[in-house]
Amino acid sequence: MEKISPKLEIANNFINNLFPKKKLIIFIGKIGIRIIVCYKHQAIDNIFVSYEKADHLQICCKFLKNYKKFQVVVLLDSPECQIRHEFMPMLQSIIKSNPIEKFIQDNYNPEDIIAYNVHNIETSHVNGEIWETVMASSPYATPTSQLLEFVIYNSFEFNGIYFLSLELESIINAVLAKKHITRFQNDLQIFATITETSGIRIAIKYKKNVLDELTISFPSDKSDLYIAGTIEQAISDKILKYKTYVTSLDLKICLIFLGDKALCDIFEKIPSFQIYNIVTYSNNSVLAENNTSHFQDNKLLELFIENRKHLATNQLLRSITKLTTINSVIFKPLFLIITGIIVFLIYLKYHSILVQQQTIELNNKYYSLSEKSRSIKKRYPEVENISNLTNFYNLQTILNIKLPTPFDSLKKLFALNNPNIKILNVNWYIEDTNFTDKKTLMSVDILYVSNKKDNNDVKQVLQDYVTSLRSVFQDYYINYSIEYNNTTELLTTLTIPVKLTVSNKIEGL
Amino acid sequence: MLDKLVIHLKNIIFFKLVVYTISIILLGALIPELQDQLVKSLHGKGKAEILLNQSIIQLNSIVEFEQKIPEINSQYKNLLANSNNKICDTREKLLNNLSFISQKRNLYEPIKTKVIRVFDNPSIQNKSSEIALYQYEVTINFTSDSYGEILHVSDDIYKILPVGAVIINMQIRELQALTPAIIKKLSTKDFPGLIEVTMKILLREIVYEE
Repeated sequence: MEKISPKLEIANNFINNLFPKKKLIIFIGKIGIRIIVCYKHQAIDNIFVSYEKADHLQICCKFLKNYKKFQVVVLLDSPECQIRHEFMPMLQSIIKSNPIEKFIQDNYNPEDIIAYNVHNIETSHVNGEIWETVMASSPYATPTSQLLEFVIYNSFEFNGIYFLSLELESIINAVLAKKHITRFQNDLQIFATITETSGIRIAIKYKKNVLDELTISFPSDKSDLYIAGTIEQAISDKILKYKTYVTSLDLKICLIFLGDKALCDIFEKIPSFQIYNIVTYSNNSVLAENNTSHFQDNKLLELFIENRKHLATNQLLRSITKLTTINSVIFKPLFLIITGIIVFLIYLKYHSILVQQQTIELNNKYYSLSEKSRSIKKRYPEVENISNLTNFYNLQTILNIKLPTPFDSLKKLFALNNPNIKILNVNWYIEDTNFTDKKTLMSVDILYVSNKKDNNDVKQVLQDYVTSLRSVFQDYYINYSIEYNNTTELLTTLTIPVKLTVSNKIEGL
Repeated sequence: MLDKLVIHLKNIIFFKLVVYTISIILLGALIPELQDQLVKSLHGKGKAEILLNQSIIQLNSIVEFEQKIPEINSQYKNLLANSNNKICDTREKLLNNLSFISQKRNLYEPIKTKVIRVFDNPSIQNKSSEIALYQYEVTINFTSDSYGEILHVSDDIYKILPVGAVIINMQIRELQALTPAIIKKLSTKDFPGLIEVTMKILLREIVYEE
């Protein structure tokens, strides 16, 4: 018998965290059955049905039908539940096998519901390991079997079955964690709480090992002091039983009590317990328990659902749990993918329809314009092809536009006479190849030739020339660069090339 | 009883898996189909926009020249009748006139001319129309010995250009050294101009393309 693979469990937890957690917990106890409805680990509704009622199963089923979409978790604490401690030796071998599986096969019926917790693996032995295990079991019998079959057959999402005896370990740890207490982790912990479903529950735990558990009936007609006294007596008996164990391991004792405020106050003041560490945790749940505030079923189940660890199973339940987990892990993402694709398809179709509508509008405008064009054509029957005629007219209009010529610029340039400046090259061109713009550019290479070699004189002559250029080309941009690197200096003359650009920017056609 | 349930659950998972897989495949197959529809719609819209814009321009033009329609129509008919001949005539006339300018200005060398057809369609032309714009690039070279003469010759050239012609480039370069080609041209009577001029003119003619 295997547990669900860790990868599958991680994926399941991830999916469960992604979507809101709606859970039904069926707590099958020693006195009756309690069902609580949890949303995000908070009890929102509950029912308790005692075994004394002949139709207790029918009442439970009726209640369950109200929450069909919820995941169902079963917590077993029925009178048939047993726990058993086993030390299982495992010889050293290349192939590591789980000795517990073999033990279960040999000692239990295949239908029995079994969960186990390996609380310690002793590796100090020469020939192998010893697995220290606590196992909980219950026969597959009424009412568990009937409730399970009802849940599974009515398409509830079955999410596993657990034993309270084993889960008490994580519940005790959770209580200490909620109280932010870490120093009692290595103490012998004795946990007590009162439930309507199973009476007073007492568990003894050391580290990960639930050593012992006890159920005593709840004296509902007695006073708080009497109830506290009952619990005190049961705990004292257990302390006496484990006295040697505590002494041999030199342990301290920590008492943990989950109860209502009044009982917690009494519990904290019990004189015989003052030598022990006492932790009380009172229930602040908004959902009141039935009849009495002493019962902690809801809080216990809330702690259980948050911290459940040891999934119980038999051969068939294992398959069912696995299949329901697969169902949940695979189909939720697939559903999301399909939804995503549908949204994308709707977006594509919507966009396509929108574009088509816009096209129809454009076409309508086009037809109305064509209609106008046809009406003009009717007035001039001699015109064979109005479209060609329009193009002809447009091109003619464009060709008749007067474009700039270089002559005016050249005349202005040549008119500037400066004895020290010699024009070498002139390059004039229209910049825009489609002539929609009238932008022209003229680049001029000039040469400063003079016997004045003083740098200031050179700059002055060139500056004067550019100033005179600017005065004749008033609507133009003029830039120039003096190429000192190409300066030629002879005995009598100095020659410096200069590059000028004259550009205009006039409004388009 | 539960063993039947395990089979039942397996069947449910299998059935759901089949349904989901088929749904994903079908929906996935629809994506390219709808994308194709969208692309076609966008393409159709683009075409409609172009048609509309052309139509708007055309209608505006018609409204603008409605009064001149008889006159434009007669010019258009004239174009239809003489389209092909006109192009050749224009170029021939231009070349003759350039030769005449060389003589008139008594240039040392006659003006050199090169004509190239430009096949790039200008953006101003409506590509779907039978009325087209033909373009020729005419490169004119001549030399002169003074900037004044250059201006006179260029001015003469500009005057003989047909309607629609546009000067796109003019380069003037003063020779800085004697090249073997210039030396060959030297004679005792005269000397070649030392200023080289290159003019690029774009001839644009409206033609009817059948």
